[in-house]
Amino acid sequence: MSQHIHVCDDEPHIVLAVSLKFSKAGFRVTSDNNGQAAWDSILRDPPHLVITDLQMPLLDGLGLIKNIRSHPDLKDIPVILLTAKGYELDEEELRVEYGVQQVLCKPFSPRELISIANSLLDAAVTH
Amino acid sequence: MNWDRHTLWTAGWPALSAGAVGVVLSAVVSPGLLIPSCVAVSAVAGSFLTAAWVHRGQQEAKARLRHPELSGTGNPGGIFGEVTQAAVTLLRQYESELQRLSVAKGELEISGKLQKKQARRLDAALRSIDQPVVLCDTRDHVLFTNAAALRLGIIEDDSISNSGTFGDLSKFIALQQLIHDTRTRAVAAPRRTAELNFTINQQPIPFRTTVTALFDDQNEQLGTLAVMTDVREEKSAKARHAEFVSSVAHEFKTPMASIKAFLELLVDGDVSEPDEQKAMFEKIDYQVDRLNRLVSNLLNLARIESGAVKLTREDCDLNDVVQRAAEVIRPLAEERGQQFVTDLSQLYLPVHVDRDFLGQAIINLLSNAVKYTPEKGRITLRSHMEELEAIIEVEDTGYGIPPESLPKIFDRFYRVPEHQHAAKGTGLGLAFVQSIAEDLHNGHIAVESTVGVGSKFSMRIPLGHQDSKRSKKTAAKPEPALANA
Repeated sequence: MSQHIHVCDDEPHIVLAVSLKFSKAGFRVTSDNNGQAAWDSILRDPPHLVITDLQMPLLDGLGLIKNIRSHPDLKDIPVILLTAKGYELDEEELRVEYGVQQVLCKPFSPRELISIANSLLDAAVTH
Repeated sequence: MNWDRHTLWTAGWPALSAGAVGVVLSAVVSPGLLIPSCVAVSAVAGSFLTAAWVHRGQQEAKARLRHPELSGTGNPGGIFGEVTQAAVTLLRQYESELQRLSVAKGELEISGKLQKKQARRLDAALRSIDQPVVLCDTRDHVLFTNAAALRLGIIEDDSISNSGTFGDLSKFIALQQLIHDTRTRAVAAPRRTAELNFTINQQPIPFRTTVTALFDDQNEQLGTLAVMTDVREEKSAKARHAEFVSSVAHEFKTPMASIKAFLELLVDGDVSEPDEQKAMFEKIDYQVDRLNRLVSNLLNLARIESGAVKLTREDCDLNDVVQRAAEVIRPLAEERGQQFVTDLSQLYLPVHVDRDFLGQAIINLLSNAVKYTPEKGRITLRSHMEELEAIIEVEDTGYGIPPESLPKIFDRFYRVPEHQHAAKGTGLGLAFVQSIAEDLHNGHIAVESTVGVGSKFSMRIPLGHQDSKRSKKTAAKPEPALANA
């Protein structure tokens, strides 16, 4: 059974590019364009990994991650933060307080993104 | 007995005359009495004449002492001549000294008045300064504070001590330390600056505090002067600038991220079908256009804000400008199933404006109304005259702007968080509108809004035509990206 990735970004072209890359690599991909819709989708259909933007309407990326970390059945889902604000964020704080495994700055390489996703999924399976 | 000179002379000479007559009579009547009579008469007359001579000398001496200038008329005679001459010399010296002292006293009085006036002027100058000012002596005791420092609570109004100081600054440890360090280590650094927080209305306010050690001409230390500057606005401006740079970076990175991702997918062969590849190239093309619009918008905004933009103002009817903007937007509204209504003034609205810039501002307002109004909604464009202004109103029945977003709605890159899903945008469109209305046309833009009901933007432009003979500047039109700001 293929692994499930949920992508959340308010930029449709980013969602398209990421979805295409992961689909071609054999992943099942679902997506949303705001944090609230993503949270509803995750509750309904929990993914193996979440890739989310930071600045989004209705519920931002950190709000979405907080929701995931506070849910007993979803708290261990690996999360990659994909953001244009990457260099202005404190990665250590994101890791400790929000359990963000990886921050990837835009513009990003889909190749690098899929590599990071595979590493996190492998680590999750090992645990 | 107080004999004056006249009495003595008038009494002396008749006495002498009477004595002489007496002597003659004595010699005639009794020759034996001649000698004693002569002696007696001579004694009496001599006494009178001596007394008169002495008195005359005294009077002359008194006169010369009272009026030393009389001494210049000749040497004083009499028995007091030398003494009087010495006294007159001394009096002249004293008089000269008195005159010198009198002049010096006058100069000192003038100098004192000038210094008092100067001190009052300096006192008034220090009091008038908006920045808090604190003057301390060489023991760090407060000598002076102005009203602004009083507001910080550095001293109490009635806390002046018997020594003329206002006590120490023990309640303000950081300020006290800065003053102390500046005073005691003035040789190393006679001026020190630190950012200190003072509490006003229970709010900590940052003040850039500069303390300077004061010296006189002889390099003797007089004390210290602390001047504090409220840096809230400065910090806020820096924060806004940093936020602006961050927003610009974010706006650039987002389309760049799409372009890079699509290109990598194409290079890696993730998109192999020609139709898919074509669609991807079109998306890249779209993102490049988006970047170009962003650059154009930023340049236009910078030109307007710096005053570098060149305008072509002309006398026209504002309704013409409004009508042309309406024609641009009407098809978009109708495409979205919205009702587009124009309610323009029947009057000629004379204005002196740059038609392109002002038209673009109206298009931006209408474009926003279309973007943030749901299907079947209503958009109304009005114009009318009010006193000395022409007013353009764009009213919609859209989502409305939350109260907390209203103060920021004209800020560059600000987008109402709740509306970001509704439409794309750079958050520069309303910043342009404000700059065009207020910076370029001396007008005003305002907004009223209620969430769930709609918004109304009102732009006011001064009425009136200018002299058509006035030379007009060369045009440099706004970049076309303004339409999509």
